[in-house]
Amino acid sequence: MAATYFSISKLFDVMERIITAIKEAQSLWKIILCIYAFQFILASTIGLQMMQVLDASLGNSLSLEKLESGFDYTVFTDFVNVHGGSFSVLYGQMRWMVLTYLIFASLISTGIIYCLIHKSSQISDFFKGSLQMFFKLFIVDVVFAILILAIMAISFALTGMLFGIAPTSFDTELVFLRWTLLISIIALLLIFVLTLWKIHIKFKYIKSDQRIFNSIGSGFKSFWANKWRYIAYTFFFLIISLILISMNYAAGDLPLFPMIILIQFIALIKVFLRIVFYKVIGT
Amino acid sequence: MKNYIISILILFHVLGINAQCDAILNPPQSARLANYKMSLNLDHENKKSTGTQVITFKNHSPDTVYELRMYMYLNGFKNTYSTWIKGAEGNTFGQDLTSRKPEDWGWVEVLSIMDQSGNDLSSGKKYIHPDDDNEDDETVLLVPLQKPILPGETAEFSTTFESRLPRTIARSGWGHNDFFLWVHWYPKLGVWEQDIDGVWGWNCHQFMRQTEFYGEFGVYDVELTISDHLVVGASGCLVSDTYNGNGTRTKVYRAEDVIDFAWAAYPHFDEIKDRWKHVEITMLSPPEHRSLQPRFIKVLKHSLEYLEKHVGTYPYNTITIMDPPLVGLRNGFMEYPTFSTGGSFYGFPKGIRTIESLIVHEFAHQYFMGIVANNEKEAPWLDEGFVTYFEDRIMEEYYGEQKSLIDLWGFKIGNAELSRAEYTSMDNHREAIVAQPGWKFKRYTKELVYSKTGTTFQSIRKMFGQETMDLLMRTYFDKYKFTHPRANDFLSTAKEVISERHGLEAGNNVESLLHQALYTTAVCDYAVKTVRTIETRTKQGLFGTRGGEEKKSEVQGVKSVIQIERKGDFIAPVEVEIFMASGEDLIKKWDGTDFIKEYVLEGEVVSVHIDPKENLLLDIDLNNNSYTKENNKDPISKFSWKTSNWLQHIFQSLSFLM
Repeated sequence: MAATYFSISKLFDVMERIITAIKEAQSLWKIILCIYAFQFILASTIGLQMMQVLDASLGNSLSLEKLESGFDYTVFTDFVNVHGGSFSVLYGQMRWMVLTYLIFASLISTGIIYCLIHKSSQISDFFKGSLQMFFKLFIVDVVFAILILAIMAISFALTGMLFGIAPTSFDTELVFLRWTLLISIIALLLIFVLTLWKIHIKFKYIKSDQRIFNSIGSGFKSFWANKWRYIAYTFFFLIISLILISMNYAAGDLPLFPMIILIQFIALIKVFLRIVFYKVIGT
Repeated sequence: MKNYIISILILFHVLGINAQCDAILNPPQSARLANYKMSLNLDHENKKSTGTQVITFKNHSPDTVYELRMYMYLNGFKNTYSTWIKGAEGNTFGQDLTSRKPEDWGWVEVLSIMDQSGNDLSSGKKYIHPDDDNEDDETVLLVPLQKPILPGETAEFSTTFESRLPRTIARSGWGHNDFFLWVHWYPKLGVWEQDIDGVWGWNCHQFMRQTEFYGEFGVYDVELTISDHLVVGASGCLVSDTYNGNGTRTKVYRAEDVIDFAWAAYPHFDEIKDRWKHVEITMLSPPEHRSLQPRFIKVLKHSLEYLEKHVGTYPYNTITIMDPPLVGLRNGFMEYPTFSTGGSFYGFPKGIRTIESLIVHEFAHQYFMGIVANNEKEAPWLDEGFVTYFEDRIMEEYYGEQKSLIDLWGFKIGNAELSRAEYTSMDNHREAIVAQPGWKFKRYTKELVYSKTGTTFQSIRKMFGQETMDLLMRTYFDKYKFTHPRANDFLSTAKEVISERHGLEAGNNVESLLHQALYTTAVCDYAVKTVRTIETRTKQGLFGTRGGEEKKSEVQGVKSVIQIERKGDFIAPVEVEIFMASGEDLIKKWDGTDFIKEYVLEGEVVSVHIDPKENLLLDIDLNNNSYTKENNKDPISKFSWKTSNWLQHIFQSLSFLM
């Protein structure tokens, strides 16, 4: 009974912190809008070009009627066969855009944490914080990103290797699937640890003005001390994100205008949730 | 009493009374020119078998037969110098052959061969290389006869042979945990037939990477003695199953009017029995695929039903489907008489129906390859193209058009759509013609032999209707079942049937379409080039003597000039639908020969559509077949918005990295 009470009280505590964080994050609406707008403008440059390519190639074709009810494989493949080159150009741009965005992502996360620590909702503070702390925290970001990518690469390589030897070494594909599941869980746990550890480093560094190396140590300590609570938070946010992504996917069936409103609202909510997540994790 | 009943059951079991099916096809369906009685002992630990064989061959030709030629296809996996492995050019299904141990290679050898007079023919036997002069290839054996076989005479030959399965490279082989698939495991006669010039001889090609099989119809009586821990499935009917009391059992199979005999064994197979009308269905599947078994059975019954209705009755009383375990996956995806192999994985989603389409495809081969037994080596399109067409038809009939292959989370692809796209998405449509021997394809075999042919047949179906297409297929099937038709047999049947039902012009059109699609690399692409609306005006200027009276121009109305073009060199008659602003809907017929065709019409045009019913699926770009001024561009906006939106999500998801 005591154990149950303990679990329920912990759960209530987690929920309370999330609710508080949601309330506090609302005050940062200008920053939320700013991040959202930045992502929107960046993504729209590709979207607009896509629209031009599609309009030039399909704009006067009756094939468009087939797309009114959704995806049409024949229209799509004929389009790609003839105009695939235009796609390649856009794909190339997209890759560079994503890489560029990663640099901005470092600025954005630093700016958010700065504002959360200093309880400021001013855009000027957001930029001030992100630019002041940028260099050192960017190096931390890069190091952790490399570690995360290395974990992903190793897990892919291991899975690929298992896939290669599976037909001659395993009795059934279930063995392969179990190993893949195990590798994925370990990889996800490691990525989870690194991601949260990094957020804590940023909080420690900005809050206490420590040297960056001290922040790395103290960040890990503070993360590790509350790891179970963080698992609960992360799980909660993952569920919410999955629900939002599903809604976003389903919105594709709506008429144009409601679809735009809904998918952009979801994109905005996701920016908001990121701030809430930082808030519950770091403060 | 209890002991008495158990004793009777054991007696029945020992006598093999529990395991019969009706093997007899009455009347015989084929000429039964090559019959085999074989007895085989399997040494499963060494993956080896020793066998005896009595071959009865009837010379149905007016010529004398002086030699035998036999397929020895397991020797294709004997070393890296075989024509099969050389032809694979390193593409050996992801396997590193350099690390193979001696026991991983496969071979088959005739130890002795005697004719019915007791003459030992062994000393004269030798391997020949009729296709490529590769001295190291041992896939065709020539045996000179001491007593030639006269026209109309039947001869009998007794052989002893040994064969060893390779660790599977492709098709035939073993996997660990005692998985075996025995195909082309015995010395098998080639086909004694006339070549295209009318000369009689053996059609017995070497085993090549790009080609499949060809055999003569006959009766197979096969006795397999195997370890009793193995679950076995095979071509034909299980006639008896006897436990020998020494850890082995003997299974006797009979397959009538078939061109080959294949069998599989694995200790862990679930053996599921079902029935469709007269057909006993046996499904062999590993336990981890248990949840998929109903899908296999269901689609197999659909295939039986569809092909009976649209082509002809399945004449055999059995069909065995073997879904290999992971260790035997490289043995899957193939067809043998009354025995097909599939391929699946644990937990395969219901919305992805590739396992169903595979079963449909391999089962349809029972009709085209198994019953209408074309030469798969010399004219692979004659079975693969037909089978792809029926695969598309069956899948769409039972699972719906444009979603028959994939219907998952709103993402839909139809089987026929994919077949068409495989052809239209080739980076070079002029790579090769379809109607050529399999060994001539360097790449794009699937795209041309399977998909282009299947799509050509879909085009004919759409042009002339389902009934005509069914009649064509039924006529061809009835005329050539249990024989070895060639391309011309089908082409002439097509022209004949279509001419009879739709007139000579239609017959000529279909002949031209089949010729262009199969015998040329012509590309089909019709497109709307321009649609212009021009104001028509009254006269302007001076009219009459000495300058005359001036007339001022006034707008009289509009006319439309439509140019449509043939961008490719494939010529086919098409309809052009023109929708006018006045509400008039015009259908123009165009023979499709000119590069540019111009229509000048009074009034304003709203839309133009070449081949509006999309009959001509070989057209590599259907999007340029139409033009309209008044389009709802919402789909373009939607797609563009969605692209930006997913990019936003990618940004947000990647933020966890920084």
